[in-house]
Amino acid sequence: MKLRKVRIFSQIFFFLLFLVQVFCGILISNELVSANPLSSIFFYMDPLLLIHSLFTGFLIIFLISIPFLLLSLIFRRYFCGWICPLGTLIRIFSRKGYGKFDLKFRKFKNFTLFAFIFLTLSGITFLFMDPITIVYRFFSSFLYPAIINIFLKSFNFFGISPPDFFLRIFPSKEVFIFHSLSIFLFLFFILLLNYFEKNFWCKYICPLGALFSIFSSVKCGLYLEKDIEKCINCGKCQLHCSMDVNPICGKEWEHFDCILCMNCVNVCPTDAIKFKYRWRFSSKEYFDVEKRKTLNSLIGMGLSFYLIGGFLKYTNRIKNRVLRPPGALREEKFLEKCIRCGECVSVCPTNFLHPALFEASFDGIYTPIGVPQYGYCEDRCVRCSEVCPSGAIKGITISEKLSKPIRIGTAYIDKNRCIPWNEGKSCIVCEEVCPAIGGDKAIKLVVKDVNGKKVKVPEVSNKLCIGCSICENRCPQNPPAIFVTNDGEIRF
Amino acid sequence: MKITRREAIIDIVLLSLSGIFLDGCGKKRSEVLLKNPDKRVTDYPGYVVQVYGEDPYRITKKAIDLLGGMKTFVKKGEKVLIKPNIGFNRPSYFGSDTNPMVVKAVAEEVLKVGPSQVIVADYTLYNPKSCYKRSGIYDALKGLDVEVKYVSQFDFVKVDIGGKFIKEWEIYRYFLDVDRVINVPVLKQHSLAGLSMAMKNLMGVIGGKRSYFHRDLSNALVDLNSFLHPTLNILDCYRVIVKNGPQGGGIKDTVLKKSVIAGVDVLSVDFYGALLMGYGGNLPGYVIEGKRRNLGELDRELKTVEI
Repeated sequence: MKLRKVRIFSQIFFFLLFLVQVFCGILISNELVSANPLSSIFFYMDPLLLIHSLFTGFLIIFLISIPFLLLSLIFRRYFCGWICPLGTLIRIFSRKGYGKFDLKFRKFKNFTLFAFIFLTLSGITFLFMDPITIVYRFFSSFLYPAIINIFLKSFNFFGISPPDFFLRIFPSKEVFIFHSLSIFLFLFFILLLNYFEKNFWCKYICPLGALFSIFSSVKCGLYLEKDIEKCINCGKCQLHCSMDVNPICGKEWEHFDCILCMNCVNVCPTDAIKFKYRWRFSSKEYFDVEKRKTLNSLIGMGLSFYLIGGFLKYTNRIKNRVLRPPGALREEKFLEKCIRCGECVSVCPTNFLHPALFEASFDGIYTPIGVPQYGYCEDRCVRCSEVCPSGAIKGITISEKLSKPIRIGTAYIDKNRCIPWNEGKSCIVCEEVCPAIGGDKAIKLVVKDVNGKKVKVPEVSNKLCIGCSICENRCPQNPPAIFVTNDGEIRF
Repeated sequence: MKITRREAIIDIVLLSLSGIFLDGCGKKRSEVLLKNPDKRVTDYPGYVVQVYGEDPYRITKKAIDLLGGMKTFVKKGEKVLIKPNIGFNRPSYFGSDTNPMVVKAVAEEVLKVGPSQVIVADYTLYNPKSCYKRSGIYDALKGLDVEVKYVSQFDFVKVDIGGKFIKEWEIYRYFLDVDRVINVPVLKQHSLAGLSMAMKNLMGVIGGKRSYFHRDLSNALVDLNSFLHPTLNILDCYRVIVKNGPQGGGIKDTVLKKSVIAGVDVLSVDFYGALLMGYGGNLPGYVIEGKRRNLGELDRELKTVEI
């Protein structure tokens, strides 16, 4: 079998595995399976997240990515060509052609990588650029809600009620994700870059690709052997090469950026090029600058990013007023540890958690926030803390959540807008839905004189409220007359 | 890139079809009423039974027996909807949902008659999946030949109710579609209504913005109940919430009343439920309003049995 076919099979296999991971999150959210590591398997395979976890609190499960990283000593950037789901998507939408920029520009991705590393050191997590989380967020927070809504609406269009198996697996209500448009546009932009040059993201920007290319710059392992005798200089290999790493005879092969897509071997009409295993081989230098210069620039870059990160962290970070999922670490630590994967968003059964854009300060991009407009925090549910792969949401149990109880905020009544307080008409919705976690309801009705009439008006007891936000979610007023702030939240 | 006339026509047709589809998706479909919303049988027993006993399963079966058995209400080959109260994701000892054993007894009795289809559904207040599971009703009905349906937000049909307060509202499709409806509410305290019983339970078959009902709950409930008539009401009073209703703060907020009240006349079922809770001098507003507007008879003959 041709190696190119094997590569395509591998891509299909891992893409299906990735879809299984996304689907697993959906199943968890609908209580069909309990939380399991399959729902974050690609995050464990991602060495960028291992580096991130080394700096922000080590988790042993991220060590799974080490063999994936070490394999690239032999197999070059095989991860990008054979496994990475974003790579697969980009490859689908890429087109043939020659590269426009040379190697100098391709090294720009190292800049993203080191920016990420040094910013992480200073406590700013720059992970929204990680390819695995980009594509996971796209599938779980944009594509899945879109598909569900289209299905539910087309059932409505044809005047049939949704079939049973559909409602068993998927939510019975439309799913909306705040800022899902920005998630879509981000991936769309990445795919659009293919228009300028094939695989633009993988060549020039991807930080994970940079990490793999550094590891694969070691001169051992697979080597592209060129037979000048056989070569007829047709240039097909150069045209089909995904990464423009010069498979053509006469130019020096750039082994560190090869993703082993096997296109060149496949198209060569005379079998002039072949991949061979070599213990040592000579090839182009990746960092052809002097060692001293490299060291200097690394240190300079590190220091400057460290300072930039620190500066941003201590001067620009606003005091966050967002609701966080129950069990979240302290805000500072949370922003550091959260890998912005959006898994908590996809398992939330009530559509309460959403990825933030800039609500949670500038570096809280795509961290989970609770939006009461869309949902509420269910009292007997800790799925977000069960699935969180990075430990940014501490693993709590349901009994812990209920008995402590773990507060995420406090509700306040806007008496100028509340129907009974202001208009003197009866409305008890917030009291009716209040979950009575502490044994008693946090919202109580008291009889008051309003405009000369006796009406029952709601009042919130700060001691009992846990900030579950169902009152704000169900309030008939728009915008709600009862609102939840993160006052009194319990963080770890 | 020149396209032929045929291709252009095909494109135009496809585009306009998808346009119609997209336009239709945005709209809420309104349909004609499928069947009579009055699900009562013509010659129903004119009395209400109340059965006391230790076992919720047995007292429910006894109550149905005393009313002449399920065959009085359901004929063979009919479609039946069982509508328990599954509004909250609380375990059954909280008393916020209908006791699963009561629902099971009703479902078994219905199945004995041999209906063509039995549906169990409720439009829950909390997340439906956790409500169905945690209330124990999903598990209790496993193995029985009933369809436990999740209600989606698109399962509602806009219907002209023509009441005093509620003019038109969205009603659950299957309530209108089936032949018989067995209403299986649970008795509990409710901050606005006073008590939540059979009449209040019908709020689980309506969609839309339900909080609007609370503006004038008494009239809204009487409007709803003079339009929708279940075949039979079986009020579960086994474990009753007396405080922090309608979901309760735990087992300490409940009292064991160990009884079941069953009857066709929804007003008298609610009246005897209120008497059981000691609300005789302080009847819920919707019961008084129902009596005033002749929804039914308030004090039909009560047969009390203890087993």
